[in-house]
Amino acid sequence: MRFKSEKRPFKLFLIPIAVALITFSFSSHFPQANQVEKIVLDNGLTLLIKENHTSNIVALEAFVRGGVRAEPEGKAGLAELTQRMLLKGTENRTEEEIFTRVESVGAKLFQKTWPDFGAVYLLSRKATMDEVLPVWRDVLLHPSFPASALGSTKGHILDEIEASRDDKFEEVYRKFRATLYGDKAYGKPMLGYKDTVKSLSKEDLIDFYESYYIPDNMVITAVGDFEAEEMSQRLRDYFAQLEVGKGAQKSKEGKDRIELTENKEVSLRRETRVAWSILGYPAPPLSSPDYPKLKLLYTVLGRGMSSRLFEKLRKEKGLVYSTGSFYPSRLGTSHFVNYAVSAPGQAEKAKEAILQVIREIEEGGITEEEMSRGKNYLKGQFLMEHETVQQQAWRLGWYETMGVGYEMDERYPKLIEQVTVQDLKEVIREYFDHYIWATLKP
Amino acid sequence: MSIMSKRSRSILTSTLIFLTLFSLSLLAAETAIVPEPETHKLENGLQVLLVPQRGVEIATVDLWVKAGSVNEDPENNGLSHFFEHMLFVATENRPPGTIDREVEAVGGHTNAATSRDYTHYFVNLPSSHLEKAIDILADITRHSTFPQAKLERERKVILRELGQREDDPGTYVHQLLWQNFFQQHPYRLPIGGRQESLQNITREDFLRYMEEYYVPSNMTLVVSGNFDRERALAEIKATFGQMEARPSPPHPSPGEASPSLLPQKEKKVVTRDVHQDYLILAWKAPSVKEKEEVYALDLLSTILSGGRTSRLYRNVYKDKTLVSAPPNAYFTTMRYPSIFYLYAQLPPENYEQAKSALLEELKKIMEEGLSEEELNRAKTKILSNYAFSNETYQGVASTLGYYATVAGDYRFALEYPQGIQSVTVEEIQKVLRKYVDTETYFEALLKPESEKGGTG
Repeated sequence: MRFKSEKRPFKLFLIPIAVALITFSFSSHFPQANQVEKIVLDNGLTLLIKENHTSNIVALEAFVRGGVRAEPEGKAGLAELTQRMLLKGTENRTEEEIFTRVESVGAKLFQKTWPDFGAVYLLSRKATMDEVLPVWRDVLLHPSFPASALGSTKGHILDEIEASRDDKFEEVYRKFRATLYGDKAYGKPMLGYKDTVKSLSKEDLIDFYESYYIPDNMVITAVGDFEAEEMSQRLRDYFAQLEVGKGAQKSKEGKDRIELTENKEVSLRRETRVAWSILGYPAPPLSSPDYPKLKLLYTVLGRGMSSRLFEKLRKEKGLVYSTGSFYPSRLGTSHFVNYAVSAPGQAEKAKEAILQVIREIEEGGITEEEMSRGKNYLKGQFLMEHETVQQQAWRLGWYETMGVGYEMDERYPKLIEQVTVQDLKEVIREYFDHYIWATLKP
Repeated sequence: MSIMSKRSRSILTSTLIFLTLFSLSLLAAETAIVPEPETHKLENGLQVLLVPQRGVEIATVDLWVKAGSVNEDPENNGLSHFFEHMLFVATENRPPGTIDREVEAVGGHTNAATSRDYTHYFVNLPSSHLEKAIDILADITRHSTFPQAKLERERKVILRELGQREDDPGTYVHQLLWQNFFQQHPYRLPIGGRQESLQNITREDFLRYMEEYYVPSNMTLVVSGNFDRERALAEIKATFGQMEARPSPPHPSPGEASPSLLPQKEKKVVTRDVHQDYLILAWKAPSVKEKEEVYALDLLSTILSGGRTSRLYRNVYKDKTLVSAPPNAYFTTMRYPSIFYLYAQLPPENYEQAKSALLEELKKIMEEGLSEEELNRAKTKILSNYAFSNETYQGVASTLGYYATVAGDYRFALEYPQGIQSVTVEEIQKVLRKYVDTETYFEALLKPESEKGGTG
C-alpha cells in the first residue's frame, strides 16, 4: 500500500479540525439542508435522512447526548468506557461475530466519545448495507457489556492514560483545561483518571447506558446512496419500538459562565527539544450570539498560513514551526486557544508575540481585505469539510445534537457574513480579559 | 454474551464465507475504484492527469516531483525538504507572503510534503478559482526567487520542526529505524536533514536543485475535482506548457545488493523521558517493481493488523493487556527495496512477552498458512479502504500522483484492485518466507530512562 504521507500531520493541526468544527455554508455549491428529511418518532428519537448519489457509499451515525459532561462525580472515564464497550458484544453477537460480519464485507464500524456526546458510526458501500445495518443497530440497542471484555478494556485505557503522557501537546493542553475548569466536566481527561477508571463497574456502565442511550436523547443521521423513503422506513422499523426510557438526566454542568479574575501561569518540566505553549481564554458556548464572531476571529488570528499568528510568529520572526488558534464548539463555556511550539528558551518571546497580535487587532482592527479573506477561507474550508457522505452525516447530526438544529448548516453563513470589524474588537474586549499561559519545557 | 450452538455457528461461518466472496465479487464488478484519468503529455515532457468528477464544487491541483531525500547525500541532507519550504515563499511575480494570502482569500489552502522518493505540492480550492491554483504551482516551480533573508528565517523554522518531530516518540522510533536499517542506501538519510547539514545549504544549492530536478519530464500534474477540463487544460498549457524541456535528472542506483533476508539480528535502543516502550521489528521488503510481492505484502499487513478481525488485534491486543494499542504491520511501496515491519507501543514490563507474541503471529502464518476465508476478508478490506480513501478528490489525486511518481506509471493505481484479487495463500506464505525470518530481524526500541530491560 502506498505510504499516505511521510510528512505526518501533527496532531496539533488535527485538533482544531477535529474539535473546532468550523462551519460555513453556501447553498449554491452543493446539495443542502433543504434536502434533509427530519423525522421525530413518537418516542422522541430524531432521524435526519439525506440522499447523496455522488458515490456508492452510505454513512450512518448515531449521536447520544451526554459524553464527559454527563459523567457522575467520581466516575471520570465512564463515557469513554461505555462507548468502547458498545462494540465488545451484544445480547446476540460476540465482538468477534460483530466484526467478522462487518469486515467481511469491507464496512467500517467505530465509535468516538466527545465532551458533550458520544457517537457510533457505520460506513458501508451501498451493496453491503443490508448486511451491516442490523449489526450497527444491535450494538446501539443491545450491548451486553461482557465482564470478560470489561477487564481488558479498562486495562487498555489505563495503559493509554500512561501513554498519553508522551504526547506533549496533549499534556500541556490537559494542564490548561484543568487550570481553567478545575474539577468541572471539561477539565477532566476523556479517558478519565487511573483511580476512577479502576473503580468503574458493569453496573456503572448499565446505569449510564440506561440514562442516556434512550430515544429522546439520540439523533440518527443517514447520508448516502439510498432511496430516502426506503431508508426512512427501515430506520422507523428499527427504532420506533424503543421505549421512551426514564429520561436522560439533563446535566447542568458547564451552564454557568466560567471567568478568570486574573492571569494564571502554569508550567510543566519534561525532557523536550522544544517548548510547547498555550495562551488561552474562556470562551462562549455554541449557542451564544458571539459564537460566529469568535469563529471568524479564530480564523483571522490563527487558521491557515496567512493568519496573523502564522505571519508574525513563523514568517516574520521564525520563532516557531507550528502556531495557530482553535476554538472548540461546546454546550457549556468553551475556550479559545492560541498555541506555539518554539525553541525552549523562546517561549516567553512567543507569548509576547501572541499578546501583541491580539492587541493589534483589538486596537487597530483588521482591514476589509483581511475580513473578506477570513470569510472566504471559512467558505472554502466548509466545502472541503462536506466532501464525503460521512462528513455530511456528521455535520447534520452534530448540530442537531448540540441543540442548535441541523438547519444551522444553512444559517451559519449568514451569521458569519454579518460579523463586522467592530464585532471582533468587542469580543476581544469581552472575552480576552485574563488568560492562562501554560507551557511544557525542559 | 450470547450462547450459540455448534450448528448455528457453522451456518454462520458458511454464511460469512458466502458474504465475503459475494462482497469481493461486488467490489470487482463495481466501476473502477480509482477513476481512469484523461492523460496528456505536454511537448516539454510534463505528464498531466485530469480527473473531472461530479460532487462538491472544489478541486485539488497536485504537482508531484520525482525528487526527495533519496537524491541527497550526507553533506546536503535536508535539501529537498528545505527546498519545499522555500518554494511557497516568493517568485518573480509574487512578493514574499502573498502566495498563501492569494489562495486563502478565495477559500483555498496550500500544502506540501517531502518524502524519500518524492515531493508534492497541492492546492485545494473552490473550482471557480482553479486557474489560480494552476498558475501558482507553475509560478513557484518556474520563478521562485529564494530571497536570502527568508532563507535564514526558514532555516530556523526547520530546526524547530525537527525538534518538534523528535519530541513525538512514535516519529522518533521510526527515524531510528530508517537511519539504522540501511547502511549505504540514501533511504537512511533523515528526510528533514540534520542540524549540521542544514547549515551548509545555500541559495545556490536551491537554484541548482531546481535546475536539475524540477524539469517537466520529472514531474506529474494531477487535477481532480468538479471542474471544467477544457479550462484546466488551457491554463496548464499557458503556464506549465511554457517550461523549458530539459533532460531528466539522474537517480540513485537501485539499492544495496544483498540477499532478501537480513544477515543477522541487530538492535538499536535509545532511552528517553517516555512512559512506554515503542518497539519496531523490521525486515527487508521489495521495491514497487516486484508487483506481485507488493500485493502479497499489502495483504499480509492487512491480515496481521487490518481491523478487529486481524491477527494482531485478536491474538495480541484484544483480551490481554500486553500492548497499549493494537499493534500494526506496515509495508510501504517505494521506488527502491524498502522495509516491512511490526510496530507496537507497550508497558515496558511486557517487553519480552509482547515481542514473542508479535513474532509468534508471523511464525503461525509461515507454518500453518491461513484460510481462503481469511484471505478473502483481507482482500475485501483492502479494496473497501481503497474505495473509501478515494472518495475525496484529494484522495484520487494523491493515489494517481503517488503511483505515477513512485511506480513510474499511474496505471499501477488502476490495476491494484485486480492485483490484490489474484493473490493466493501460497503466494503470501512465499513472500513471508522470502523476506521474514523470526530469528533475524532489525529491532528499534525507544524506552523509558528508568528501564534496564530489553536484552533481546
